[in-house]
Amino acid sequence: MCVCGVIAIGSFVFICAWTWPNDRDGSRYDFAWHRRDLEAKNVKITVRPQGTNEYYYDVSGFVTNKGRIPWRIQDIELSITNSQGTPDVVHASMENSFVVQPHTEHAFALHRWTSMTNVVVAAEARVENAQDGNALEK
Amino acid sequence: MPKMAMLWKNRDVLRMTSFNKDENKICRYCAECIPVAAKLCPRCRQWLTFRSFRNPIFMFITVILPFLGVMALFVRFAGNMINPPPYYSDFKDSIQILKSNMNWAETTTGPRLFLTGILTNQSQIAWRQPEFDCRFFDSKGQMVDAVSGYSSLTVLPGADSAFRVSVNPALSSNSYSSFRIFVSNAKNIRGY
Repeated sequence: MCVCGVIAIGSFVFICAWTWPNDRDGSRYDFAWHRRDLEAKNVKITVRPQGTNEYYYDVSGFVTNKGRIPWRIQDIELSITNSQGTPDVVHASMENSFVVQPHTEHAFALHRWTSMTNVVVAAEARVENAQDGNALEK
Repeated sequence: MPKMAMLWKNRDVLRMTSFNKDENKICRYCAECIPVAAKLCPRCRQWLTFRSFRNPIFMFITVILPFLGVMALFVRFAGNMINPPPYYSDFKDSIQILKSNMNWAETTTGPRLFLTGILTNQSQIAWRQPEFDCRFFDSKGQMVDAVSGYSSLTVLPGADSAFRVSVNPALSSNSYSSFRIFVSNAKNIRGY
């Protein structure tokens, strides 16, 4: 009887933790469990030299959602590499966060600058943080 | 050997000799000889029928399963209270853009890009504040910019509505040769 009670209470807590919103915004899902659903594809980078040591670069691409939950993209992590192979990482918060619906894609573009000593040649991107797309925007 | 010790040593023999198949049975929990009609073992107090709460399967079917069902309904109901449906993700593509234009305007803060057009709601649900996926391409067809914008409007079921999205361009105007625009999200009438 005691074991069954513990199982019942544990199950209740598990269900609550799984489905209950962890915040007052009504989020039902934690992005940490669904990170693999989102993928940044066709990431392209173009560089515009501005000053002696400054390079403006534009990164554009698409975020695809392979899961069944809509996600509001808030932060994107960029890994950029210059022609000497030196990597740099940029954690970019989206000025206007956007929602990627299930099984669709959404375009994104970031405009940043770097003082790397050589021209940026490659960029990779991944979604760093997102929230439940059906919840209120944080 | 003392008499009591001999009795203790031969207790199984004594038990077996007193066992009558018609009147007795063996408790499957404590292996004691008990009356055949007993539903509760007089020695270990264990229920011997299936319909006993000490039976884990019976307990699971009659108590835990309904309990979990009620809890799941409760959690779903309470979750819907906090974040009420319907959600646009269940009705994606219900808002379609019928017509759109791109216009440049000089403002006090610099050049701005306005995307205007007409959208239609093909669902039976009213939607508010649609969000747009705006993609801009250069003359070679390469995507040079992408902006997520929104328009503060409500579009009723089966109705059309005009929209305007204001974009702060990151590149010079000659980089924006063409564009495509999609509705990526919208809020329901309760604001979710």
